[in-house]
Amino acid sequence: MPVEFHRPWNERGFYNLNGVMLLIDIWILKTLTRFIAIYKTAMLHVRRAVPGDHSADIYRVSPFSYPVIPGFLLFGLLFVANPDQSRADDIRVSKNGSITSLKQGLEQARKGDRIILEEGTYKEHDVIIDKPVTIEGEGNVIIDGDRQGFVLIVRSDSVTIRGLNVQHAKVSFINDNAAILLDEVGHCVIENNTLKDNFFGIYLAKSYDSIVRNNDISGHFTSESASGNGIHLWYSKNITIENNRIDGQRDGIYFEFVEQSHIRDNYSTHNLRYGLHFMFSDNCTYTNNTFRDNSAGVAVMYTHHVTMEGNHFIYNWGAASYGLLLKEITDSSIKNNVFEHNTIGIYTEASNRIQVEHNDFIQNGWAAKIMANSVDNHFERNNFIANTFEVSTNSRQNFNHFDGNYWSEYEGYDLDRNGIGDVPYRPVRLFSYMVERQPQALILLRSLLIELLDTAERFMPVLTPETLVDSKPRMRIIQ
Amino acid sequence: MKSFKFKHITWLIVLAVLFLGGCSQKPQKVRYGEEQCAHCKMVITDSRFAAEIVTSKGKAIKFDAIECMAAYLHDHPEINEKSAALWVSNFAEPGSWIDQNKAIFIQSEKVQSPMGKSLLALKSDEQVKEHLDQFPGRKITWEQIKSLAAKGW
Repeated sequence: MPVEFHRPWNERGFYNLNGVMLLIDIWILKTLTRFIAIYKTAMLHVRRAVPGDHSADIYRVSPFSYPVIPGFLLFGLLFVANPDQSRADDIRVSKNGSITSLKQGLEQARKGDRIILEEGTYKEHDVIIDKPVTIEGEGNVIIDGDRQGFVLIVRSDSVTIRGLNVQHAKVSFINDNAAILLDEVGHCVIENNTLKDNFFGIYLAKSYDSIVRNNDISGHFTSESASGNGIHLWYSKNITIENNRIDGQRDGIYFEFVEQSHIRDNYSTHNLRYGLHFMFSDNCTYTNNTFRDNSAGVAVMYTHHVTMEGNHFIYNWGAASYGLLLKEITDSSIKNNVFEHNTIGIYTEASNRIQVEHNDFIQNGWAAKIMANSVDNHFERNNFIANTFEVSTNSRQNFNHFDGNYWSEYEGYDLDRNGIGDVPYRPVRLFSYMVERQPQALILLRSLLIELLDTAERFMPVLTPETLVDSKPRMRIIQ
Repeated sequence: MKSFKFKHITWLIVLAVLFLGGCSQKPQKVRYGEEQCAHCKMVITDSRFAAEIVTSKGKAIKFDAIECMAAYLHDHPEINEKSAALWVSNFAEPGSWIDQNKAIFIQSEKVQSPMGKSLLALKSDEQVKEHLDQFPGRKITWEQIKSLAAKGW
């Protein structure tokens, strides 16, 4: 047996000296109070001293000139450092060790401990984590729920789960079984995990101040009612969802009644319904995400103050598929996004005061479908490149504003060479208006008659909304 | 002559069946994952919550949740609730339909419906008892659901 050298400290502090440290701390405090008492009496003597009487001079030396006191102070500071953390232990769980399951490990763990799982497959389900611990996988650690229920249930604040493979939560019509459930907790971190073939992936219910990052979540679902969401948030607040990859779930990321949360740098793809599904979640932000090839795209609904920036909405094809579906969204901003190869780039219904700026709409069926009940939205400095229909609407009225966009279909000229076309541009084609009323008419898309009608309508708008016009169309693509 | 008459009647019956069949207010099949809700525009995916209005002319309007159907009726007063048939999914037997007049509605504290109002429908008192034993919730009437939907989200 190798001889182990026991140092009284490890990388996390002087953990073996806890009892001693406490005694030393108390002693330091006592000494300090004694010094203060002495100093006070000394000052009293000095103040009372009669001029000419030098007997009090001995006290006139500043107490800080005793090197002892600052020395003690330093010494004290060294030890007062976070006693909680320094008391933490490592508990090792392994298939052939003394602790063979995560449940056992949790029973033995105390507040702040770290449970390290060694490589192997652990068949465990409904594991309840009810104390603030860190659970870490070392090597390829698989926790298999064996289709029995939930896998990990977090019921304590400040839990960290890192580096695990969690799989096989039970598919159910009644319970939303998840690989990892955060149940009314805060300050948790879920990172670097791989979740495969679960029903729901990571489920946050009534949780707050937590981070979900660098996880890889995938499912192989075929039916939507028998599949769950990748990252599901319900009544949660101040959550960061960062750098996750979600593939083949029902909804990639799902937000319902969430506040002040951030979704960034995620990649959500091949989901059976939405890449991101977002309802009743005020003041949330999502930036730099990619939503690709989801069967219905992204839906953002019934929300105020959403910021959507730098996202990619790509390849969302299908009869009921949208790059971005907006329903009853107000006072929000959509900036620097790319909408590419979608059936419909943006669809807005009953959405007001949205600032749509600097986006690229490239090769979509419809770049933007704006229903008549959407009012006061501003489309500025966007690029509309090679879309079949640029803007379409279901009404002759228009209460939205288009200004300074680039339209690849624009055929006007720029005589004064200021980069802005001299002829205003009407992005709504007569034909798109007809298709809106009679979808089957789409079969006539490339016919000569339609082209003629469109051209005629552009010169003399009769049926298309008269005020839906960009009076400053750009001549070149806006960088 | 007799056989001619008989033929005549058969044709009449066939026509009548076709005619009545065309006007049937039976619930129509929902293509889950493809069709979208007429109210909220979400794709209908969950056969535990879907709802359907079949108008007197036999047109089906489909919804992803009971609350969406109620909100749609509120937004479209032209639909006569008396002559139209309203269908809701049986939560306990996903995919089967219950007539709204016969359904027992529950507002759950635990079960989440697609549009956030936690409404579900069951067909019998036994089902209700069985459900409430498992999940907390309370019964709610159709009228209450309508006023809930009228308030909006």
